[in-house]
Amino acid sequence: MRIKRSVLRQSYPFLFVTGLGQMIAGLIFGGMDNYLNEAPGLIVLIPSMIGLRGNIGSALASRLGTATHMGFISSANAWNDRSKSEMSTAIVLSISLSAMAGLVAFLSCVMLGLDHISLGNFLFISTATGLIDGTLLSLMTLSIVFYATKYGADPDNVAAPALATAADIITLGVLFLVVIASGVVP
Amino acid sequence: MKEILDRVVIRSTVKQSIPVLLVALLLGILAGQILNLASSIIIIPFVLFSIPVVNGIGGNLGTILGARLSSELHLGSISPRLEGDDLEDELLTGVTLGIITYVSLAFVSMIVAPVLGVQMPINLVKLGVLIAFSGILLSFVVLAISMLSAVYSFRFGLDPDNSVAPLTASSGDIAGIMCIILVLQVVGV
Repeated sequence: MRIKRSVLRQSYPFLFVTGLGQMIAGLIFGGMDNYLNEAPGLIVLIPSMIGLRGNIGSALASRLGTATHMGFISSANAWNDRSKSEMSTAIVLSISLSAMAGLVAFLSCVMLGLDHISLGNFLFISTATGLIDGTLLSLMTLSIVFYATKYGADPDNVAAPALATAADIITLGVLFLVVIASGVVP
Repeated sequence: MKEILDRVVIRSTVKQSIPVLLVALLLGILAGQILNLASSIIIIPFVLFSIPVVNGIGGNLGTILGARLSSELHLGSISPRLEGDDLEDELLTGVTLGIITYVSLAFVSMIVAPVLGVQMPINLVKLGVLIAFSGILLSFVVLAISMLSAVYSFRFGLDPDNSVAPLTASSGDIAGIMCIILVLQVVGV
């Protein structure tokens, strides 16, 4: 058996930098402790909200990348019908699946007989986060694809990894703000 | 014409994404309920800080190995029977990569987290130990998941390029949380 040094050399810097990005996400998560204690069941939402955003975002990134390679989107013509319809699809998916996450989180707490915040609170927090976050990340994905194409990089190689890390940070940040705004914790 | 194209794009994207997204959603809620049930040891600032770090790197590690295994299965340098020197090399490389990454990030966390104002345990080493040990544990689990899903997808005629990443990402999140809880049981909060 031997260790493939070239893989270590190429992957370690990437993993290390995404780790630093995850520390920012950790910082936000760690700052939410009081809210998580005061709003029982809220924590149930968090992994699926982060996961959904990662899935929807990376699918959008690779679809926009493909559209760029096929010539439907270019740096000179980035804001067009094709990119708008791709982005609105991602936003619609983000809102509807987030609402579903809120509902399932509520139901799972009820079924397990655990303390929980009201269904209204679950739905408000998940849907508002899905709307704001989905919109922000879609715009961000388009700009990454735009700048990658402009400077001659292949968006397929850049967009998805950049987005995966950003998605965690932005989702937790938006969720935190929405929780504060919802007034679920006095 | 354009409008028709746009409508077709939207409809096919939605139709194809929903099953995968729903499975990811349910696995996410499962991960969330595990956090909720263990909330007495999870909702503590330094533990919350560690979760995205441990899980994020675990997911990336699995995706990297999964992508490499898929390519080698396609190229034939690894046989779908789970044997061969190349497979052993890949696993050894993956574990080494996991150990180096988690240990270095554990040290960085011990410096960065207190500076950024995360409320720390009385003993700072606990944060380092939590990230390093649960990370290394997770590396083994994630590498096993991505290896098995790559090989079995290939045997069942699925393209591992499409199946390994989502499978590894969602099950890796649950595994990561379990590893953190396990290490916390040993080290204590």
